[in-house]
Amino acid sequence: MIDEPVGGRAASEGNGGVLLEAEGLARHYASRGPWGAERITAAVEDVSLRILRGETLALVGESGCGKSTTARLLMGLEPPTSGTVRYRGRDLGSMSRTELLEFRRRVQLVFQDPFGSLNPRMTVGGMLGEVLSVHALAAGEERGRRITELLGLVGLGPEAAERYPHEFSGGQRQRIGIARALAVEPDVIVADEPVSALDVSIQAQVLNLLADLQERLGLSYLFIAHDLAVVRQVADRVAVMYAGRIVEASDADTLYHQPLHPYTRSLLAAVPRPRPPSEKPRATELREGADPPKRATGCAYFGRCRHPARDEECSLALPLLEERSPGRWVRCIKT
Amino acid sequence: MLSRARRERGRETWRRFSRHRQAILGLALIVLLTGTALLAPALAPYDPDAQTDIVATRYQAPSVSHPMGTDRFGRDIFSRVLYGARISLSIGFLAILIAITLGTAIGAIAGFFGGRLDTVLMRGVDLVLSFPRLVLLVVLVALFEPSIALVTLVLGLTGWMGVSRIVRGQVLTVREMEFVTAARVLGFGRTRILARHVLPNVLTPVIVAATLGIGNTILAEAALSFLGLGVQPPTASWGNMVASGRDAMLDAWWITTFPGLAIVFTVMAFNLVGDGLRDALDPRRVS
Amino acid sequence: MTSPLLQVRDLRTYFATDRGEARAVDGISFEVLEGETVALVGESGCGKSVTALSILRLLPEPPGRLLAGSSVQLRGEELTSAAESRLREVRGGEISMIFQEPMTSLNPVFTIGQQVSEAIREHEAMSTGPGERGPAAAKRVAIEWLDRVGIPDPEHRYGYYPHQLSGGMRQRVMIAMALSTRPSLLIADEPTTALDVTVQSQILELLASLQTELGTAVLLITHDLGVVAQVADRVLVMYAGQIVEEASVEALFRAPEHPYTEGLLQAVPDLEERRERLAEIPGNVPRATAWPTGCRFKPRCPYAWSRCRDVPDLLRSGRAEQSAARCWLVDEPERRRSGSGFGPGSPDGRREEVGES
Repeated sequence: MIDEPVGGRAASEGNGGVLLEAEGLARHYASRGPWGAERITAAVEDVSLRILRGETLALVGESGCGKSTTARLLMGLEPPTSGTVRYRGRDLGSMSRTELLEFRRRVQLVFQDPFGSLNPRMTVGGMLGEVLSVHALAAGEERGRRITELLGLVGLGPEAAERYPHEFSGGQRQRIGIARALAVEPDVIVADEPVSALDVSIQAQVLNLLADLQERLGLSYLFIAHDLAVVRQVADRVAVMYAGRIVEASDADTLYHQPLHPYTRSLLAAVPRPRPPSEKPRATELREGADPPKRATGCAYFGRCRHPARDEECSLALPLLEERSPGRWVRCIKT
Repeated sequence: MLSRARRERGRETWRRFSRHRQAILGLALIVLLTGTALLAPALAPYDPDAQTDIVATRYQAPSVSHPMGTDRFGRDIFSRVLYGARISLSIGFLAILIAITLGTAIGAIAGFFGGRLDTVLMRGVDLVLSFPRLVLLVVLVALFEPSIALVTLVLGLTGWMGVSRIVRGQVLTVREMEFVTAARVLGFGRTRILARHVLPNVLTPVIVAATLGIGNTILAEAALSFLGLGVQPPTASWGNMVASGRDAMLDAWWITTFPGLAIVFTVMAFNLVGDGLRDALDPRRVS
Repeated sequence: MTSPLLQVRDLRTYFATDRGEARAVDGISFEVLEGETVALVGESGCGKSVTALSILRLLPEPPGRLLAGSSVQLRGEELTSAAESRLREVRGGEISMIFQEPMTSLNPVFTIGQQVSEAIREHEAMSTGPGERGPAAAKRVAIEWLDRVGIPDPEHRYGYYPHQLSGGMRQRVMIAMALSTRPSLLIADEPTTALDVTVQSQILELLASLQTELGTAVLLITHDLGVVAQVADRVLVMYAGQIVEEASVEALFRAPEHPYTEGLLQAVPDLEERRERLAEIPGNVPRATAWPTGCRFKPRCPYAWSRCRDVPDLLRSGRAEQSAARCWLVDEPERRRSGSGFGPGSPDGRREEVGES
């Protein structure tokens, strides 16, 4: 069964504001056990979401929850087992070569690792120039001007074009990665943990840069992160993933102030706050037990859940992602 | 035009290489050998193939007029060693060029495209590797008329397997790196990704393997020529010079010793440079 | 007054590198008292991990070297000049250590039970106190410890290999190994950085409760200010190889004294509300081979003035008890009010220097 896409506002605005859209996305991996028995692991199951023009949708969750796989599916880097990805209404799976090239121009990716995501054998100018030439965006003198302009956009001087990646610090490399994504003039940027490898002081610089670029260029972001404080700073809407599924989604303010799903609540409660100990944070109402046993049926969170109303009913059937109020989705039968 | 950054990186590599004293010694030897090979006509005191008065000049021990003595046909060993360097070195360089090109192409295609193509190519490599190289060489040469071109080609065609394995392994690693994903996301074609983004990042071990491989190839050429299957007399190659002197080894040690030493020093020189390059180009130190 | 458990005086650890000498730890002094938790906090490259390794003399020497004049005393006993045999007793005995990556700190070819037992037996061989000995007793104690650190069904899990456990469970095993020898000091180097946030909070709680129970002092090395606020009693902030601020956790988060601490706190996004813009600390962390002269934070500091050309001392301030900052502002607090502080970096045209600063 396919749930409604997460993205409330789009429904009232028609589909005009929807840029990138996933519907019932699933990705299964087959692995073989020691005796040749095939085991199917669902990395992503039943994920539907919409990214609207100019907004930031954040996908939050812990390692292995499927958020990065979702990003790869949305980018067309691997095919979904089922479900569809649409860009401006066109199905990614049935795009022609030219349409796919156009899609690559419009949807770009920013990576986590500032070291592995730049080709060590190319200068920064060479990298940017290649993008411009492959997409025939600028040639001759115009190309050099455009490279300088792109570097300026991310706060780097023109002299950076002459240099190789290893001559830059982590934060500067992340800026170069952003400039490379911007070279094709995209309207959606999928950012997969773009600041989690950076030091706190550098992280702030990059987050501010992303905000400036959004304002200046009207970009939409799908921001994937595990750090809830970082997400708080950037997101308009947030979707929380657990075990391959979206368990809660809503606008950011609501989600942070009134989390509904027990997982979201324990996630928020677990974040250590950089505040004086005397300023007691909100009551940490829901704590979790240790590693849960794997369950075949029912709610995937059942083993770790500490919701007071949790009972056997939860372990019987998989809860659906339901819209409780406009734009507010929860996958839990007890809230 | 060489960019400033590229020049800087080259200087850095050279600085590390030059601290490797043995590698510098090896490089100096190679320069010396290549130089003498190129200038052989000017440097050689005699025509290497000229047989003058055989009875009067054969089996002469090293002397002022013949620094390395003469062989049983009265030919000047020193001149022949100089001319032999041309043959041995050019066979070594050309054969390794063939091996590197072939090995890189096959390894890169297998690693980059993967799947069934990979399986087929790599089983092919296993097959070729399962024959002892020398036996393979002997069979191939025996099937055709021995000539310098044939020896070069055969040495090249039997020397690429190691390179293809190295390249395939490296490509498999590099293929998964994020800058390659970035290139895919930017809509770059597969050929461009392979040529511009993957290959330049696997060349370091190839350069090292090539340098080390030249030594091996020169040895193999010597072995073939020693067995009479390589470079044919009267053309001088170090291998057939050693072979021609083996009957008179106890009486006229110089006939085998000097070309033998030439082989030893050349192989050693290339190995030293290979080791130095490996240390200087080590990607762990470039960051 | 009781003497400190650990006393570090003017510790300097330098490294020989391609780019010259790296002054990774450059003259730091601090104390850890019995039973307290001290956090050593800083960004990558500030020297916090090198400090930990220097205390236990676990650095590769060369390229590293401890400079003459450095002193590390454990209950008055000098460790910098101690014999290697004595150091082996100290490591894992009086001082234990846990690391960031529990996968690589456990040996993949032995079961977790064997590894905990081994730690116990290794150190009972050195101790002279009473108590049961032998492999059977060690196994019993090991199972007790696995239970204590919250590993469910410890008798069964005793036979598990590290790869069969999750990251959080592996870190619990590391804690069992580290604490089973009842050390006086536990050095924890980014113990929760590789873990998910819910697991992190469990591990931090476990550490805190075991610490209370056993009276162990903890030197916590971390980059995460949230973790510091949650577990530490006292905080040492490191920047560019030096301690730039020292304060109780309450004072540090309430009123940071050093501009670097102030900038860090303002650069962290807040979970409670979205800020218009985050404050930025401009520029990059300098390299250990080329620390700036004078105050090392000067090039990035919004308050810097002519006096900052001179190296500031760690100055005691009256603001809070036991707090000190390596900053001239302590002497001239009125300058802080007139200074601009850490603005939200301007969106336009701000150019960064490329390469090393």
